[in-house]
Formats: sequence, C-alpha cells, structure tokens
Amino acid sequence: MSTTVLALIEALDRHGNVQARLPVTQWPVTVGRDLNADLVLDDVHVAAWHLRLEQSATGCLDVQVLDTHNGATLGTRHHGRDTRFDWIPGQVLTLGRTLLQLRLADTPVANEQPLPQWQWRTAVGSVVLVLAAVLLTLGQTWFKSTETTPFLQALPLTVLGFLAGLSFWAGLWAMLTKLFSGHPQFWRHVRIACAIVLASFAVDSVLEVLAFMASWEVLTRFENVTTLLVLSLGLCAHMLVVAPKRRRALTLFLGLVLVLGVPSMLGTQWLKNKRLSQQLYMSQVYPPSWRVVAPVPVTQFMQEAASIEQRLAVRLQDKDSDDSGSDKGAAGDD
Amino acid sequence: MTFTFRCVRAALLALGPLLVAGHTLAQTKPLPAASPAPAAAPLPLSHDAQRAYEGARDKLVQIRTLLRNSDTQASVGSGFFVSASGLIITNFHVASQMALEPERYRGVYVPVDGKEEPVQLLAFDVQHDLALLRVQTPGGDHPALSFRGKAEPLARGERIYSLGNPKDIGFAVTEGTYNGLVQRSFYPRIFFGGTINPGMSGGPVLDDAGRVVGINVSKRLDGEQLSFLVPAEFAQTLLQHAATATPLTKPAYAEVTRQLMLHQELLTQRFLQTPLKAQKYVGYSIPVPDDALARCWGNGRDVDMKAFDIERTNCQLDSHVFAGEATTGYVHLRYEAYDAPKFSALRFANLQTQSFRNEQFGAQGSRKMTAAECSERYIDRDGMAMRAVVCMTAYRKLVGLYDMSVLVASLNRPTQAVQGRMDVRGVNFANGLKLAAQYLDAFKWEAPR
Repeated sequence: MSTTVLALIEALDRHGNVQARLPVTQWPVTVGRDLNADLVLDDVHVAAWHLRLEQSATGCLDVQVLDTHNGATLGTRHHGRDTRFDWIPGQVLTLGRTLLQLRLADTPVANEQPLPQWQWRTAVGSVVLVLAAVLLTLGQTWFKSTETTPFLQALPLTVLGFLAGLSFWAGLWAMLTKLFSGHPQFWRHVRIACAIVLASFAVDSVLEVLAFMASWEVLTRFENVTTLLVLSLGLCAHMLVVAPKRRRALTLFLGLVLVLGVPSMLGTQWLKNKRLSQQLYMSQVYPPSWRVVAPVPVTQFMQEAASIEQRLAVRLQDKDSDDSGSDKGAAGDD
Repeated sequence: MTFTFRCVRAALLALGPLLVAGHTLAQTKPLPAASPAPAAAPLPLSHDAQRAYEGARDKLVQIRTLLRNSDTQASVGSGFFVSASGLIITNFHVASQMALEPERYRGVYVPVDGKEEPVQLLAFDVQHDLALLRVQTPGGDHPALSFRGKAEPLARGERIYSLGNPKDIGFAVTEGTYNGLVQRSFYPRIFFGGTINPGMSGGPVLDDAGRVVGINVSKRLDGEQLSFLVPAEFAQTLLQHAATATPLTKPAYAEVTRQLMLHQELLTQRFLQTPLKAQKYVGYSIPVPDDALARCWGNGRDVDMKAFDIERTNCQLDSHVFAGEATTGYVHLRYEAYDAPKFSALRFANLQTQSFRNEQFGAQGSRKMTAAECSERYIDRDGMAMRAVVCMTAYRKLVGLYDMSVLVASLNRPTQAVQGRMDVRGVNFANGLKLAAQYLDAFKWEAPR
C-alpha cells in the first residue's frame, strides 16, 4: 500500500551534513532524543521530547516546544518551553546544535542548478592577475639591479620564489575555506593575493608620485597606514571566501582595524617620537621631468629651515620625551 | 646614501675619544713649579726609558673616578704632579665624570708607591682635552715634573718616553719617537711613534732630560704605534690660568658649553673662510673641503658594475672634541656621483632612491639629544634643481648646541646625479644654517662640452 509523503524534514549538523531525514506521511510529528520520537536526534543539547510539529489550518507548520531547557530558534528568534510558533518552509530551525530544514509536498521544486562550467573569463582573469604580479615583482627587482647579467641569473629564482610564496599563501586560505565551506577555492585566493600585491604597489606609487611631483611630502609620511588598509581589505576578501555568510562580522573586523589599529599605530609613533610618522623626509626619487613644482632659491629654503629652531625648542621643553634612547654608563680606561 | 669607506679612515678612538683644546676658568698667577725648567745641562745619566721612569715615578699618579655610593671604579687614567702644592695635570676625558656629574662621581689619585687620596677638579680645557686637579688634603711637598720650553723644539725622530698606568695593570713606560705635529689636525697634536694604551690617558711624555713634552691623549686603532699627544704648552697655559681656581663642585655643563661654543665658532669661521674645493664629475661641480682642512678618501667605479659608473668621496675634518656627553665639534662630508647612460630614467631614479632613502638623521631622541626636526624643499642652484633636506637635533644639556645634517640630491638629468651629505656636530643654530647654505650654494651644473 503506497503512502503519500506530506513533507520531508532533514536534520543537519553545523557543517551542513545531513544526519537524519524523515519523510512525513502523517501529522503530528515528534522530534527528540527518545527512541520513540518520530525523528530521533543524536544531540546531547536536545531534550527527549523536544518538539511537536503539526500542520495548522493556514497550511504552515505549527511548532510546539515541549519540555526542553534549550528551546528552539527559528531564524534569529528564540522560543522557550511551552511556546508555539509557525514554521514556514525555507526557514532553518535550530535545536541544540542541530539544524532542521523543512520541505512540504506542495512546495514547488526549485529549478535544476547547472553544473559549474569552466569559466574562461575567470581563468583568464586569474592568469592576467598572476602575470601582472609576477611582472611587478620582476620589474621591482630589475629597477633595483645595476647589471643585466646578475638580474637574468637571478630571474628564475625570483619568479619561482614569488610563485612559491603566492601558492603557500593561497594554499593556507584554501585549506581554511575547505574546512569551513567545503570547497578550497584556491584560484580565488590566488586572485585576491595578487590583487593585494598590485593594489598595495599602486596605492604607494600614486602617493609617492604625487608627493614627488608637487613636493607634498605629507603623502609619503603614512605609507604604513595605507599598507595596513590595503592589507586589511585583502584579508577581508580572503575571509569572505572562507565564510561568505559572515559578511557583517567581517565588516565589523575591518571597521575595528580602522578604528583601533590606525590610531594605535599613530599613537605609538606619537608617544615614541612626538610625531605621527617615522619618515623624517620624502625619500622617493622619480625622473626629474616628473617634477612640476618650481624649486626655490637656497636663501628661501634656509629661511624656512630656521623654523627648526622653534620646533626643537618645543622638544627641549618636553623633558619626559626622548628618554627611550640608550645612555650607556661610562666605565673603563681613559 | 650608501657611502662606504673602502679605504682606511681615521678611527680615532683610543684611550678615549679624541679631544681638543680651549680656555679654562679664571686664573691667577703662575706657579714657579709650573714654569719651564731652565735649559737642562747635560745629564750624566744614560738616556733611556729606565732613567725616564726612575726620574718620574714619584711624580706620576693614576687617576681614578669612583662612584660616590659604592666606591667602585668608573674609569681610570693617568696624571702627573706639576707643582709642589699638589696640582695634577690629566686629560679632560679622564676627569669628565667629576666635571659633569660630581654628585655621582668623585676622583682620587694613586701614586706609584702610595695610598689613594682624594682630588678636586679645578679647571679643564675641553678643546685640548686637559684637566687640572688638586690633591684635596692640604700641605705636603709633592715632587713635580717640569715642562720643556717652547724655545727648545723637539727634533723629528727624537726619543721620548710615555708614562702611565695602562689598563690598571701597573705603572709603565713606553719608548717612542717624536714625529712632529699631526697634519690637518684642527688643534696642534703631537704624532708619537710609540705605544700608548687605555689607562695611560693623561700621563706625561718626557724627553731625555725628564721634562714634559706632551700628554698622552689618544691613538689610532687601525695602525701600529700611531699615538697622539697634547703639546705640553697647553697644559702650561691651563696651569697658569687656573692654579688657584676654586674647585668645581657642581655639574659644569655651562662651562663645557662655553668652551664648545668657542670651538664651534672657530670651526665655523675656518670652514667659511676656506673656500670649498670643486670636485668635478660629468658636468657637476661638487663641494669638498680644501686639502689643508680635511682628509678625503674617494673611490671610483666598481669593476663589477659595467652599466653604472659611481664615484664616492668621504671627507672628515679632524676637529673632534670630547665633551663628556659625546664626541662632537667636527664636520663630515661625503658625496656619491652616478652616471648610467644605458639606464632608463625610471630605473635610474629607482637606484638613486636606494641611496637617498638610506640616510639616518636621529629620528629618535635620547637623554642627551632631542629627536631630529627637518625641513625639505626643491632648491634651485643656477638652473639645476636639487632636493635638499636639512635636519637638526639639539643637545639637551649643552644648551644652544646642535647637530646639523644636510642631504642633497641633484634632479636635473635623467641618468646622472650627485648626492651629497654634510654633518656638522656641535654648532650653534645660526652657524649650522650658515654652513648648510655654504654647502648647498657650492653645488653647480655645467653642461659638458
């Protein structure tokens, strides 16, 4: 004799793995650890008789919370002992550490999802990003080298070293992603890592070039802050891949980095040296033709430099500062 | 800037830092015992080190600086009696702790065969690194050494004898030769071809007749038997001016500063009055000090760098003064010049950056110095654009004295450049800026024909 299935209830662990499934052929249904319950759960945080489910007149499912200490949570709302509520299909009901999902027989079946296809665009994007990062690394090495032969000799090692570092970094993130969401997404992490390298270079370069062109030294004073910002954004991007549903927590993390990290970096600098930056002067040089601001006569520069006296007078008045330097006691033969 | 010293340079360390000369406290009348001895009649004794030592042993002392609380030694040096009333000459760097921190340190002298007795500091000459002490216990008739007069200059190659107590091991005499005065030394300094060791600082150097010709002060560590003496005439001057001075009981920073101010004024004047020499490279004219004023060491192209020509030069003016707080009062200049016609402008700029960013200016302060404050600009030198940075730090206790550094790099050619740096230690603010301006003004570009 065939029976009609009215609904399907699935019990999942926190990682989404199905622990138990119950095709419902009649209402009510009981859920608990008791062996006589209709859906038996192996979760120590679930009561022997935890829930009773019954179809309501509206077509929803009426949930009655039985004699349980932990109660049940529907979405973000908690329901205690001896309460009732409606459970709409699609919502996740949490008991202890078990998640329950519900499908009613009359709920339309979602369309078939296509299998993941080889995304040429993504693949090309990955290759372009990796190539760009490798070229950037080689370019920086080339710009710092004075001779061609040593550069060419070191080239294979430079490329391999960069690729090894990139693989290691993306591999670590891929392992985390596999742990939390099941798929490593290695290439996505590779793309993010390359983007961090490129963005960091781009931000620094733009600031340095602007500073050089217009003699806006202040733009180069806080490179560590801009690097921190770019790195934080990159880490957030990595973590979003690991835990895509934690967008809010990650946004909070980024906010905390900005609100706490940047002021503490600047504050530490201030306490140490009574200045916000470690950089005493603009040290990046670009081709002379890039400079747009006009130079001044030496006499004018010297007049401006006279302000140093006043600034040093302020430092001299501050008896407590600058005590961090070593002051070796003299001892020995003269 | 990655100036490297490929050649041997003066590492004047020694029995302590290199020191120098000056004036001292107010004075009174000279003492008979301090005056030069009459031209000595030929001595019947043999002229050797043994004779020198025997003749001086009862006039020779060790000077110890002790911590007041524990009586442990903080430093040791040597000295010698110059008057029957108990006046002792030594180096300032031997007695500097007594001068600057008398609340923490006290001085004692120890004769060759005797017990330690307390001494008082009467005066010092920071510029020449000399100090005048007096035994604290009144009375006594101390045998004293006499000075060889200026009228009897030593001949080069003449045997002289250095005495002192090296490393607190025991009194010793070392024999060497008089080699005239050190070339390019800011203050006169005798070049002694003999060995002196730490602990002998302040000890006398005698001629065959047992008269003082100099005072041990320093040596070079990068050579053999390259030692230096303060000429005896400066000790005589100090003695004449300060023999009856009141002992110093409070920190003497003001007096040290006063003497350093004289020194820096002298240094600045000499530097400003001696035109800087122009070193030519490609089309650049780069300032370096005149040969008579400073020693320079340079090196040229590295044979391993085929596409990149570089020339480096370091110059140092030997005017170092030990001021207790630090060794100061000197000028150091260096430059690097590059020519890389095969490079792109961007690659060349990147290489230039590596040198330009590699400079230290005392970003962090200390108990002795404030952190640096800087000023930077593009400056124009007769049509040549340059990036210039001036940084200064102030001495906390030597009020009014500063260390000044100026860094400059040319920005007029895509693949050629010069980069220079001048450091002046221990100048007043106005002189620091004057020297910086003189240095910057001396850079020039003349397009090669």
